[in-house]
Amino acid sequence: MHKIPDHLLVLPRMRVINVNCVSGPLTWGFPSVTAFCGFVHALSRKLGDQTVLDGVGIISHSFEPQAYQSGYEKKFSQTRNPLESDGSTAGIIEEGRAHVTVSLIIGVYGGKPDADETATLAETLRLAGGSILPVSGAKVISLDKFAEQDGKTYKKLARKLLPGFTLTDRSDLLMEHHKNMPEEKTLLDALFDLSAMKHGYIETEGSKGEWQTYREGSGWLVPIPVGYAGISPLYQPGEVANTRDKETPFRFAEAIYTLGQWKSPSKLKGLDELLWFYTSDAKNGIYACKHKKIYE
Amino acid sequence: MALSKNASVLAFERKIDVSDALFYGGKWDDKANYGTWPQIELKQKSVRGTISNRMKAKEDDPAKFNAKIESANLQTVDVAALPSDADTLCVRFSLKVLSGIGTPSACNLAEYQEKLKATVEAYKAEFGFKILADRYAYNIANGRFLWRNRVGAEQVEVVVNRVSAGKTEKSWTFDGFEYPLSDFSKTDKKVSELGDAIADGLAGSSFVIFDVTAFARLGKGQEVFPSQELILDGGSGKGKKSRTLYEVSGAAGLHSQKVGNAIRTIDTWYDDLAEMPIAVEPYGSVTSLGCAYRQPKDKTDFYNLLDNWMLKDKKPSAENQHFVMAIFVRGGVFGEAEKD
Repeated sequence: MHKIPDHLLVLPRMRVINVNCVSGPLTWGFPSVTAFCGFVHALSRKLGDQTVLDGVGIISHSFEPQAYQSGYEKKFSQTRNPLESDGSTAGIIEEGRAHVTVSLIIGVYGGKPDADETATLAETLRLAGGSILPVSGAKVISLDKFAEQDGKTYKKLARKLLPGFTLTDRSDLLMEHHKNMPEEKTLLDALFDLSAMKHGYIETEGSKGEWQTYREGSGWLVPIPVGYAGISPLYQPGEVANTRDKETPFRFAEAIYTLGQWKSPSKLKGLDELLWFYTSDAKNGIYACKHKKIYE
Repeated sequence: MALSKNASVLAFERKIDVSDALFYGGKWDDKANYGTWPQIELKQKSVRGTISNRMKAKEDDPAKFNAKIESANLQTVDVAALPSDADTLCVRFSLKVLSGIGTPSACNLAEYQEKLKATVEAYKAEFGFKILADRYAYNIANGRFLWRNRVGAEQVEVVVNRVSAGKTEKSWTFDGFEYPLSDFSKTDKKVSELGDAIADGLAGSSFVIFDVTAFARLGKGQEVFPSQELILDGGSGKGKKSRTLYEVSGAAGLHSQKVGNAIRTIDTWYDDLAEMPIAVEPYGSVTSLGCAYRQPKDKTDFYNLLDNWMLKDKKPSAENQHFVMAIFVRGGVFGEAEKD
């Protein structure tokens, strides 16, 4: 059980350019949830001790990958880097970038921050490796907890977020799908099965049937990276060479995937389907972003 | 205290952060209403050109040679141009100035970070950031970021608005051609004021965002020059587009990297006889000339200067100190691989 936030900070229609859109080893697309959770955490640390930001709702309004189609494949456009000291061309470091417009709904615990000041702080940060263009119209909504329980505050907010799509966790759907599959299939098979575009001969009763392109499940389902699973023991700070700093414990990790769904903000029931929180289970080495139950 | 080694992880975020610059077209006399100008869209065209490239030496069989140069050279390219009734290109972008020069975004050696901080503080106390900021301001005022669109323009006007929470606080208007690209000798009150604002932002006394709008009077229907995309293995083969230009939501534009490069073209310290400013780069490299002006063998590149300063306590000359600070403003990954 997680507490209902005292306030919600809304950063509407932030334009972020050159975000990293290859955030996992299997997929490319919208930046990872971990990037948004990390952004909120960094912003929270900048705000000081009186206010804690936790939980982020992600609404995408536009997504423009910097990719070009030639024939069948799409290719990311690259950047030419500065020359080497001998005047020769530097190697190209391949990366995938995108321009996005997102609205973030951020849970605020503790003192009420000033909306414009917080937005200005946010502009000084990077989000998923991209630069945030000037934000206007940031606001802080105080939550009346009783109204929130019947979703009124959320409904009001959701109207302002249209048109757009909210990224939600659908690991429940993944589990359910896995249960209905043959026993030898793993959860990864279930994820692939739900993400794949299939082409097959569908026989219909009474008629000849036809070739169809279809997908399992309904709705806009996508495989998304949501965190990291440790694949080594947790090392003491400084034990492994060339880490980012010498104060933080270190662990090798790989990405955790789950099933996500893009939903219209107006279709969500309330904040517990919207806000993503960090969760960690250091003993089993699971560090993932999830929704949490926040209503009593 | 001298340090014994470099940090293996050392990275800085850029402190002057620009957006993509988007293109709009309109009439010079109608500059006041630039907000309503339509964006410039890319068009694709296919042309029947001639073969004009230099032939390889082994292709000297006359029959073959003639057949080759007589055939047509078909190509498909992207182009962008002003509308036929518009004579002025409007280029818009925003520019953020962030503080925290010399604070790495990642550094795995605490002593190094402390020393770095002390070094930057000492620089700040001696020179302040005004010297750098004035040069950045100059490069905004002269419209260098228009690149090829500035060449051949009849008039260039740059309007810089300092904005706060969406409202314009202060505005400057510059005649771009008043400020030559070849040096920074011309100074005036307006550039200095803009420089003060940038210096404030770099020093962290206030957070600074500018909206920059530049107008270049080119002539009705003239071609304009957005950035070209680098697409690996995309342009080869028959019938494929050989030039893809950059667009954002349907508007032609310049990459943010390209605008940033123009704004940090402030390095005249690479040589005593420097003829022109070059962009601040660790090796002083200039892509269009295919050479690097700050050679490691001359010990004038960023890494030699920084290592001497940090590890051997040998302070570079004042000019090279400016250069090192400008590299911190530029940002980048500068760690040294640890030797086994």
